Amino acid sequence: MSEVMRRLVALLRRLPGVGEKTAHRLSIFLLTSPPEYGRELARALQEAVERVRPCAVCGNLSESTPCELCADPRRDRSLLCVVERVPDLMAIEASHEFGGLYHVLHGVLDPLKGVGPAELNIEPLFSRLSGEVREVILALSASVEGETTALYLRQRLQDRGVRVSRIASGIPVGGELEYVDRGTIGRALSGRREM
Amino acid sequence: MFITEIRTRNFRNLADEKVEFFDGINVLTGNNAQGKTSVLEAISILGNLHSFRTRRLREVIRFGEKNSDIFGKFTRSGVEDELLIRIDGLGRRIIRSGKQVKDIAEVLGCFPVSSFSPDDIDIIKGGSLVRRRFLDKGCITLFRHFFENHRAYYKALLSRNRIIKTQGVPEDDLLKSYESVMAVSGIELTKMRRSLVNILRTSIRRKNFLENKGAIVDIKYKSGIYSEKDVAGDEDEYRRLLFDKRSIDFQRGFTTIGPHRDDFVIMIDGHPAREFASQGQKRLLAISMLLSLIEETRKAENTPVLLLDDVSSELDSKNRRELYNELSRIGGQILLTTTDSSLYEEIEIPIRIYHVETGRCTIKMERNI
Repeated sequence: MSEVMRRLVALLRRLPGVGEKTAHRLSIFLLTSPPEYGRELARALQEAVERVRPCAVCGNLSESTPCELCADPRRDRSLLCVVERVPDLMAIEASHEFGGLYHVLHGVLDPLKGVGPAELNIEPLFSRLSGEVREVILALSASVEGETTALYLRQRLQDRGVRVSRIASGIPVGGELEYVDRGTIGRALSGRREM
Repeated sequence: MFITEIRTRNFRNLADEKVEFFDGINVLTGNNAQGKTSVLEAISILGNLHSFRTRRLREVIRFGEKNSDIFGKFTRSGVEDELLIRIDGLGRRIIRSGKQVKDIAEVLGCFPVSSFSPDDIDIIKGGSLVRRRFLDKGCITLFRHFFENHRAYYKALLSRNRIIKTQGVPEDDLLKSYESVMAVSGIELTKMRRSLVNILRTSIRRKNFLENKGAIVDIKYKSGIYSEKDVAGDEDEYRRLLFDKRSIDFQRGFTTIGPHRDDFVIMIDGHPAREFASQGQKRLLAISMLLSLIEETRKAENTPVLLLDDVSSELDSKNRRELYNELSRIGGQILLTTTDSSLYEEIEIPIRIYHVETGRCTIKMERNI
């Protein structure tokens, strides 16, 4: 294999979910396709890398700061939803159930991996609270790390005059109870609602 | 559940032959280095997917061969199940009734096997880690939320330790959030381990086959949260204790209180067995603990096959006899090794005795009562 190809394979292999074999297959595909496709891909990649940045307000990826969501006058500025990563934000957006603003932490607390509060997008969250925010919704994963991050944020938010809530966990919509794991069923039961 | 037959290929010094077992006490007898323990090892690998003898599974592959197979047939309430484990230089493959198993969670716990070897006397003589592991083995089968709480507690504990070690002045809110998780899961762990110790205490007292029939055995749970008090405690109190210990913990560089320091003491006639029991008593105590654990946990799970490797070696003939009676009382399937089967031959319990020589098992005698 030529030096140039080896470099391409090595770079592709760094992508998430791509191993040695897939990296080879992708590079062969790129090099046997019409060269226009490869050029187009390279241009798109370069442009995206140069123009897309985390929004200085919420941390969402965007070409502008503030991003489209933060700048949208129709969004409810009294609700702030805290998520771990950009894909979580996208998932909530896709549900069309939330009309407030977001705050992306870019991870969760995990001292064992060297991630403390300083490594996350946490301090900017507090500077956003002076305005119209009435409620902070913590939409973090139900893992030990997500749990401690939520506890930490609640700890630091409690004296700031905002309501702090946590999204519910339980039975998936359209799911069958029979196939739901024990932990989720336990939480769904303890978090039941009167009707 | 019981194992009806095993067949191995290229497994240590065992012959590539089928061995059938019966649903009771199977005694493997023979001289040293003939393959008695290897038979038990093969069964323990089927049940636990790892060996009690070695951490590196590939060591079981016969010298000069590339791979090794262990095949076993199990019966549970009349239903047969087959398991094949193929071990090569890279790892193991599991095939259940002809189908490859991808997720080991699918077979773990399906073929419960408990083994006991001379090293297990460490539960009396060794450090507290051995005893916590012993308790946790029982807690996992008895209490539904044990595993989740165990995982959460240890993750939060390691995180708190890391924060203490790496940050000069740790942030109060950060420590508090880990301490909250530790308090919630730690209290749960404490409750579950404590109730298992109480169950075992009652159970072991019913076993009067200990030397000097009068010996009173007691087990005391020692919580890693409260050094003196024998109370269940509550989350808020535990959280306060963690807070109070911060300055000491900072100095030492780790968390000084919590279930990670849990322990229990086995007492014989009011004295710690560790210092006061004889070697033979220690062995009897250790095996009584294991038998109690098996008796108590099988109510919740299907009965494990019990593998006893050379457990009677340090016992006198009277205690051996008591042990064998106890084993037949407990019931379930047992496979045990011994160099001397003479007592088994005279004692009136249903039994099948095998003679093991150069890796070959042949039935020497059988008695059904």
